[in-house]
Amino acid sequence: MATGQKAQTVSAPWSILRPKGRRHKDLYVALLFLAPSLLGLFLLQVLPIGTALVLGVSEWNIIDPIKFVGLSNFVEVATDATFYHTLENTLYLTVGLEVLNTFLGLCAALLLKNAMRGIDLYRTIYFLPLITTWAAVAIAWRYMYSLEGPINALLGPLGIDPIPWLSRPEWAMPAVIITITWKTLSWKTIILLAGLQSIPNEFYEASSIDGASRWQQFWKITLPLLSPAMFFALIIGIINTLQLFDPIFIMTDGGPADSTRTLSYYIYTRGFQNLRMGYAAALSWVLFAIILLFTLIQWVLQKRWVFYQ
Amino acid sequence: MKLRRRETVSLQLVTALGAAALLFPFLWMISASLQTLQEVEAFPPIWIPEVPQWTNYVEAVVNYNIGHALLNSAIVTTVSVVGQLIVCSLGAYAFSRLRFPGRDAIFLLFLATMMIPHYVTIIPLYTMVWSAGLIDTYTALIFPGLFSPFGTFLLRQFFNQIPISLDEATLIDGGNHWHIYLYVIMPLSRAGLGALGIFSFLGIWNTLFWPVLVINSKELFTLPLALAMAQGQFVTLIHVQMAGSVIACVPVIVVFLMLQKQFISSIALSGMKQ
Repeated sequence: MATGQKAQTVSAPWSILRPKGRRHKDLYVALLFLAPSLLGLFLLQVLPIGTALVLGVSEWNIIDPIKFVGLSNFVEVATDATFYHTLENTLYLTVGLEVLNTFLGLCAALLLKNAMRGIDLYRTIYFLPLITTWAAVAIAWRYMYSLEGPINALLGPLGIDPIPWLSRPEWAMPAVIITITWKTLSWKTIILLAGLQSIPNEFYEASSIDGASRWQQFWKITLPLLSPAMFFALIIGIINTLQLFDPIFIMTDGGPADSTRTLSYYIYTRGFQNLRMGYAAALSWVLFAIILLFTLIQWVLQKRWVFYQ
Repeated sequence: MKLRRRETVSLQLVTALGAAALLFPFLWMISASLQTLQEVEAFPPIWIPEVPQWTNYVEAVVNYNIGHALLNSAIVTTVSVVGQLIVCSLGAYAFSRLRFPGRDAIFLLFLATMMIPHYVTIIPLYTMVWSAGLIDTYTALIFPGLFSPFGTFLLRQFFNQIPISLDEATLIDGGNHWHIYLYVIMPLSRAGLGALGIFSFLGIWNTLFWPVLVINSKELFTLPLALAMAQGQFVTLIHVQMAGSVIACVPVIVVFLMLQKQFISSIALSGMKQ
């Protein structure tokens, strides 16, 4: 602490203002400043997390007294066919969304980094879906997907027969993925755009003097230098997808035939539709373990294969 | 990179096409909200209503609870955002400026809770609210928004960039920590407060999950909840529902247009998603 030493040796007033008991004096001030945060941390984090641990090993329907059942909730998870089905759905959703989002997000970032006429307006339009209320736009999408709705009407002239988007199990998940891509695409774009703008222009200038084509520049300069941003956006994107609720609640309620019931929506179903708080808490710990796994993957792998400048 | 003229034109064209695709759901929403029931149910769909039915908006506000829900959302969001900014900035000040035993350990605890997914805490939170008899109250809607470990962390990062010599000057002039917080740190952290403000505004205004759990009576519906519930009750009234959806989107778009720069740079910095 260079400034601290300087203060003690050089400026005399400091030794008066900061006597030996200073740490102690700050403690009372700190308690005042921290009191609301500590209360919030206790009520909204510490107490709920502790309760979730207790609930995970209990059976409780809220009305009857809570009953300790040991690890039987977790044993039930391990043998629950619906749980495995929701895991598959979650995998389907996550992979589909990340593939579409990464590809389209990269395209959008490459477009929006150019200085062109009206770029500010374009950027605003690209970012609009991200900020608007899920409930509002998901209802609009639900109607747009109806058999005689605008999406099928647009596909008609292309020779595509009306698609039963949300009413058939094989079409519901693709429909949900398209909607979520529309909504979250620009989050990816913002991260990748920031990554693109941090690549020095000299790299492109030098390589074009050496005769590199646009295509070569993209594969040899842009993509490697963008990989940290892409990797970061991938992991955070997965963690966010694992916790989605609103679009599924509004558009499908997990159906038809459980085809869009993800793990997170299954937690809601068990906890708040079937009132099995203990089982839902156990499922939420499974979700926590999966999210923790991705967080750890990010920590370990980002040092290995991501190319930092 | 210099672009040739033909490239510029095609780039502009592709960008415009993308913008049109992203705007399409909004345009359909607005168009449907101005149609008659007959028009909105027609096949093939009618893209532009013959006579704009502005009365759909009146009907949504007056008869379908949207007006009341708008007021509830405004109250809940305002109180939560202002509260969160105060609570988080006070906490961040302690972590950034004060020295006390256990400071780093407590800060680590704040960071650790950020890794726990919402789904783990929301079940116990619901049972707590239920046990406390707070189901169907403004308190239940507001109190979870008053504190945010992320907000405390974000503001601490901003506070740390303010030179400590300004604090020392205030102390020499006879000020105390409260003066430093109020007259030095807060005015110099407008960017940070703006960033946290827009994140929490969008998060709380748009949130659906928590109100779904703790609110049952129509009088306390927030806007997203009112829209979601109207869906079950008035399945056929697409045009009125779309009017409600447009009403819900306008405030967030206005706030976004005002704070766009801060919003985007903060996402790029923190990777936070509302």
